[in-house]
Amino acid sequence: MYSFKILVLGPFNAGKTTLVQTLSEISMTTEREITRPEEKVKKTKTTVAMDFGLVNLGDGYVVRLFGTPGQRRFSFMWRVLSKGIHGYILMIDSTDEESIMEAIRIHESFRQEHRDVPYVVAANKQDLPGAMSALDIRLALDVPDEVPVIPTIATNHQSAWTVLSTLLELCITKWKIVV
Amino acid sequence: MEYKSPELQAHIEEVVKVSRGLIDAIIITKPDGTPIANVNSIDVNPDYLAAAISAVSGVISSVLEVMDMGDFRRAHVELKDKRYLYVVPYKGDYVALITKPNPNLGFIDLLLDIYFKEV
Repeated sequence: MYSFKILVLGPFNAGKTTLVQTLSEISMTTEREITRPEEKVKKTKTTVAMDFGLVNLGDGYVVRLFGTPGQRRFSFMWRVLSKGIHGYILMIDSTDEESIMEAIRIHESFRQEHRDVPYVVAANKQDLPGAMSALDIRLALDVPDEVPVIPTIATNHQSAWTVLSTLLELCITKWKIVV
Repeated sequence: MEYKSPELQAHIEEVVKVSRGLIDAIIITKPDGTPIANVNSIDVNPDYLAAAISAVSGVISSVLEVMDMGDFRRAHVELKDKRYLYVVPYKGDYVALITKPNPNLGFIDLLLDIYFKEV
């Protein structure tokens, strides 16, 4: 059995929990009711510790997905959850410029300790009006050419799988995993 | 923006007063990690402490939920320096307190029973 550990990182309301739940056969979440009015205008529940999901790839290969909370007050969980990761997905709400700016700040901080870890950017909510294109998000984040920026609809299994499978290919190459 | 509860603030100040110096810090947090009352004699940012408590509580509750065992009544962790961290669900929120080293645990339990009994 080979187990990939993948982290799903990104700002509040980017769609991390949705991505984990869409992809997973078994999932667990720590969502709680939101108190703060400035957060409540966006949604009613938020992840306070982690999301977890298991994806069975067959032939003894599984993916363990760990979703982080998005607010900065939970940033200590990044370090807890990122131990031993093979790669990570940076989720972005493509319809929210403020969220994109926050994603840049989160990523700059996270990348400092995970420079060698492969990642992809999931430009989520592409089905909603006003979504920035993947190209615009690539330019805003200034990500290197070799990092895929993938237009994503996290509620759609095929779209979510494209994100995960793209990252797994990078992980297999980077860590020389025999499949 | 302030989210404080003056009633709960007065309540935990009373607990610290009657604790005979056994409590180093006590905080009440919403389940989403928003602190609403806080008495703290150690150098910890209440926003981060509240977030950490909600994360710990969230994980415990979720694990128990997966095992279909209901919610927890009280959690305590013994620290290496012999202090204790207690987490107690209280009226939809969480109370967390950190004791001084080598506390009288019976007395702490009694305080929690009296002041933070679930209705």
